[in-house]
Amino acid sequence: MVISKANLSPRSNIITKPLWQAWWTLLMFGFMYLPIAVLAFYSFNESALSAQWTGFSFKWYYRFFHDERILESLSDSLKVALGSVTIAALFGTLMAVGLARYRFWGRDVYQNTVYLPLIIPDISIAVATLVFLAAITLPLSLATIIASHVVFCLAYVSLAVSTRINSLDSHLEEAAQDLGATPFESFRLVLLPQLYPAIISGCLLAFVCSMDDFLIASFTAGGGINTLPMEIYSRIRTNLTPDLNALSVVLIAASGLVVLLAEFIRRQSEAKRSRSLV
Amino acid sequence: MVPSFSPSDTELNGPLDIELRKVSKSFNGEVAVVGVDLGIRRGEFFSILGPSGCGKTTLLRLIAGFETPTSGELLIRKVSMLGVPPYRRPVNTVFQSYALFSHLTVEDNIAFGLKIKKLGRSEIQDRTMDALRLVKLEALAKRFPEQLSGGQQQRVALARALVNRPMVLLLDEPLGALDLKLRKEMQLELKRLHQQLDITFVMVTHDQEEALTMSDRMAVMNGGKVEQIGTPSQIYDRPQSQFVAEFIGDTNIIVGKIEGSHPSMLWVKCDEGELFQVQPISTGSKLLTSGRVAINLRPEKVELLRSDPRSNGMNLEGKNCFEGALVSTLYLGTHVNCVIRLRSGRTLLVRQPSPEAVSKIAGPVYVVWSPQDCLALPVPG
Repeated sequence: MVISKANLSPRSNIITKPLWQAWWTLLMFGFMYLPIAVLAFYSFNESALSAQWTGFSFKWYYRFFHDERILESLSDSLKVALGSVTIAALFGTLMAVGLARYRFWGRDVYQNTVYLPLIIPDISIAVATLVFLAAITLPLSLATIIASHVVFCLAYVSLAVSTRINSLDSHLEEAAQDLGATPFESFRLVLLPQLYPAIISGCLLAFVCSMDDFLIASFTAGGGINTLPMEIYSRIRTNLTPDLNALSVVLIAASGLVVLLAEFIRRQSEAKRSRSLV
Repeated sequence: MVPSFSPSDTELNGPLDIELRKVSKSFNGEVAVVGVDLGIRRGEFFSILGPSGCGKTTLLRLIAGFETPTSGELLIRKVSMLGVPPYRRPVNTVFQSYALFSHLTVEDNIAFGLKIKKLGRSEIQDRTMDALRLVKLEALAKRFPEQLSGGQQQRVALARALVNRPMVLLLDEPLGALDLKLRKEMQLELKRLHQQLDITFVMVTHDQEEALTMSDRMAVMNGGKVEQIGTPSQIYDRPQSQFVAEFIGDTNIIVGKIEGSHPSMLWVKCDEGELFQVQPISTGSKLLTSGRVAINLRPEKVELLRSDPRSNGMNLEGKNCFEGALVSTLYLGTHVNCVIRLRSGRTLLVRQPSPEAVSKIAGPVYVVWSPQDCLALPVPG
């Protein structure tokens, strides 16, 4: 695709000449996506053995959609992700607004530690959280996973919102108050609408990371709680079945859809603006 | 005599919309505004002029309510604004950055204040339309701010403030972001709006020409203090401090010592040796009769002659006349600035109307000016 585009372009003879660049790009794409393509391919294989193709089938998809344990773990994962993202959306936004708009003692230290959970290795967060929970003798449960996920979800949301708020005119809320809006009204009617795209994109990122997390969840999960990555891991250790291929394909497709949806919302709002140009 | 303005004096010339009494503001110990006394009359176009960092924007933000004074009192229409938040003050602000709401259309931006006040639907619509007409933006009502040019955004910001019918409109460097041509256009536009609406305008600017051409009265600020308040001509022709003289327009500042005084004349011996005759003026209440002074001489007040006026029989009674040589000329379109070096070595800036007036000058030139065209100001410090 890259090559043909370069060749078809009438003006860009600079691009057409070094063909090796196009090959290199293809190679990199292959490196990144070939394993996934292979996985997707074998998820439709009728045979239980990955090595040989015996015919096209949806049976692995059917199997896992009727697998009680998979569905239960999916529900646990969704509960954790939705719970932690909701909490993070609320507090992450407030945190970013507070850091950007107010001056208080220790603000600089606070600002620089907000993003630490993104740098600290997951294993450290997992161990630290477990030790902490043990120290205060809080029993592990679904809530403890949510609490530990809030730690990094908060960082994602506040990072996205901070970036957005710092690009906004710092006089926006003042302008609203000047026009008669109370501080709360100016936040709700002026600041928040401008922050929504950032809040949503931060939440989507946090959601995907929460769904993906195995390490922290497995350290902080209470008895009977099994998130999807934990379930997959435990199955891989016992036997590798093609229904895991199918599950992976569904997960990839789902996250792809989430990204497409976010992009669609963003373009819709932009299209609305350009239409009003007429 | 130069009238000095204090809030009680201005009372005689009409009711005051805004009164500041000994207002000071400091940020974490750093002083921004110091002991400002100011009265802004109802319906006037008042400018606050000063270099950046002089506290003029802080002063405007104090009036708008975004800052609270560290000490002193602020009244709007005789009501103390102590503890009154910005959203309850009868003023509206046009921000330097415009601060338009980019998620709302032009129309919704303008209607914002009316919607907050929960006015009736039809009234909101009528007043928004009126405001759009006022700034000539009817055709762009449905657009978003980022689809507008800088000048159009400026108009939206104006309409958004004016639609609320404020008692006072505050303008923070409203034309600072526009190019020269657009700025001139918007200056006229602002003047038109002011005359049409009969609202008090308070404008902060660092552009002395803008302040001179647009204001009924103006305050010149420096280092957090108000240096002088007056009409543009009072500020230009009768500056009360060296700072004001130098900040407003071109000027020659000549430092010297008072040698002799008379009720109608001062003789000042300059540091370079010349003896100048200067008309005495009062600064504040006291008349300068001795000590060091800075003489302020505007370049356009100086007459430039090619031949010695004394040999031509010109009456120089009571005038200052010196011989010098033309050093350089600077063509500025509407006029020419000439640098003249006097015999004492001092250089004077002299303004001439056209390049022809100073062409082909080879020999000595003579500069002449009247004592009433220059001012002796107290030397600061």
